[in-house]
Amino acid sequence: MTADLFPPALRAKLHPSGPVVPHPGPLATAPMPETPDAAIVQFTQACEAVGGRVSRAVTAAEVAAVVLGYLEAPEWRLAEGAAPFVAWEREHLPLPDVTALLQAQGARQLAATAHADQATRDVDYRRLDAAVVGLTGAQAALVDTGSIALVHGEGRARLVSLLPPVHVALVPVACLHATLGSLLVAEPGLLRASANVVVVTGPSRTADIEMTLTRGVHGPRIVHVVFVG
Amino acid sequence: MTQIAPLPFYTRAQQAIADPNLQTALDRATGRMVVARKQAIAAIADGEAARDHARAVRAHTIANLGQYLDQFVEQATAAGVHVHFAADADAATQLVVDIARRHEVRRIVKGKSMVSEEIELNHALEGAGMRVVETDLGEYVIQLDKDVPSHIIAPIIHKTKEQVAETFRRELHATDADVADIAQMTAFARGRLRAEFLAADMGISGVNFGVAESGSLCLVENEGNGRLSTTMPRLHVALMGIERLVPTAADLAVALRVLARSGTGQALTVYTNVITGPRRPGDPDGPSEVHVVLVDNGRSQMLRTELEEILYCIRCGACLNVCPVYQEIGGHAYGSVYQGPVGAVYTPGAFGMGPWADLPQASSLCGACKEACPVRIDIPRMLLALRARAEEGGHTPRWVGRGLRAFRLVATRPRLFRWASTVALRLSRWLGPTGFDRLPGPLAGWTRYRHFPPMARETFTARRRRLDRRQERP
Repeated sequence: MTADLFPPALRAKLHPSGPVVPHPGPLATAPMPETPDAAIVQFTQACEAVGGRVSRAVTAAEVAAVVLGYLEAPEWRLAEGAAPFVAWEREHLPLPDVTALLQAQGARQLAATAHADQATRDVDYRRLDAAVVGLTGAQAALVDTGSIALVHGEGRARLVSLLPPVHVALVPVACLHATLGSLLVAEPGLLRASANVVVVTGPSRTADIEMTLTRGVHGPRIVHVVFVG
Repeated sequence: MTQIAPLPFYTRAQQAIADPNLQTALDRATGRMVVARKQAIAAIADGEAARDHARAVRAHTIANLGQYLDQFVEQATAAGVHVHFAADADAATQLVVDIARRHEVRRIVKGKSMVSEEIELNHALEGAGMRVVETDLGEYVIQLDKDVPSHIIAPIIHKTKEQVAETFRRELHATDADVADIAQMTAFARGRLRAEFLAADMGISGVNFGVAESGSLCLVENEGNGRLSTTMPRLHVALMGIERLVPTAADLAVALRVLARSGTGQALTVYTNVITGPRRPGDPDGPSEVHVVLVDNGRSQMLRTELEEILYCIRCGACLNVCPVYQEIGGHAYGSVYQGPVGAVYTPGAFGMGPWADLPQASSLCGACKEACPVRIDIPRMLLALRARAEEGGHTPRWVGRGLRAFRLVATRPRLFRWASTVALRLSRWLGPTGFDRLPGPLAGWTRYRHFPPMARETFTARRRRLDRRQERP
């Protein structure tokens, strides 16, 4: 930078004055439960407390059954066949065969890409807006808050977990972390590695009108975390 | 700051107290928020340690703000963000309007941003012929009603559900079924706003925290409108106060923890959205261009002064909910974008005494705000400092200073004080039980807002002496 972004008057005030105020260093966070099962129990409690759903699966067929259950729910039944879904690309799902299985069972998958130029983008958005289920992986699950961390990027669209009313996230059991703090300490490059990282804690909600909780505003009203393995 | 208080604070406060709808809405809402916060704090074992830690991080950051701003600017620029600086509200709105014009923007969706309220951005953009839609449910209702928010995190805390239903019927032609209950109203607003998201070509947001080490913008929210506003349009412009930085990602985690628990009683907000630059090659979605406008607008006037501590504020709103004054008068009476105890310090501190000199008086100095603050900001101390400033700057009626000096003269001389108490006691008896409720002359203003009960039959010193003598006897 050649010229200072900040004017001289502000620059003068930005310098520290008075005694040195040290950084407090890291904050010790809650320890990880001893076994993965205990961690999942704790995660489940926290996630259900905010209205999320949690289950476990070993095979792609089990996950496909969960997704089909949502797609075939009466409220979304279309004139012909089941409602459509969107998903992260197969190599970013812990069980890559899920999408192929879903298609084999008659479910319709929509392309998740939104093009940068405006005209194509409008078409992309209208298509994406029709999806009922969004299927993603997740980089991490946070035990103390029941949250999942989605690192977006190539093959991992942001809108998959945002536009459809149902979000199903597949998380390998090995990705459990104690807290958001311990995740960010364990993976110091996480934020810089991607243009967008989102930590999701339960379904979309509002309490703007009289502080009364309502689930499902702009984001999904159902968030279902499936632990894999 | 163009939102000049139209009436003296006391008049606004009186009107607020006399408004039955406002009183109903406030009673329903603040009670729920206080309970939720207490439960959330009690639910974590290390809640107090996290608060101490968050305070230390904020204090360190503000003390070294220059270093962290430089680091943030360097890292954000490296990530592909266009970084701008605006010294005041006019410069900030001009920057945003220019960016929008350059990209031939017509439709804008906005996530919640206190800075945008502060600089009255919507007004400027609409003046430039653009359509701006607020997408946070509360802010959407505010915009439809041409109202202003009355709470930092709960903008329509002053409205009842019946009033919101009326707004939707009037402005959006909602049917009775659309507004049957709160869930229906929410679903109705979702449908209307989804269409806006699909068509928008620019998204505007605030920033809860900028992360210096990575140049990331962190936005927290519960509805999903913030994510949609920063994902769907091709252009994203974020507004950020210059003080809203944390040094590292680990510090961010601590700050988010105390923010969510204090603000809404949640363990973490539903969406913690971290943006580090525009969409990258191969990314399937996200904006192609990201701008951040660093806004000063009076913040630096508080830097390195006795008001600096207010810049630690993380805008959780907890001090509003616990404040006995806010609970009675709501946010509008403050006349500022920043209400409640934090606003009573921040508003005159950043925007100058001018019309705001009486805001620091809107407190009983009970200390509930300091107790509730997740970063333990000593708000009562700064309210006192501002009262002193108001007095020195001639913003307080002259008799207040003179009266206080007279009181000091009497109170620091024991014999004179005893004599004065005796005289006051006799006067009180002579005037009868309600005699002091309407004091004459310049003191009339004081008794208009306070009860002044008749004085006890015995002065405190006389009573103490009597009791001491009784104790000495066996």
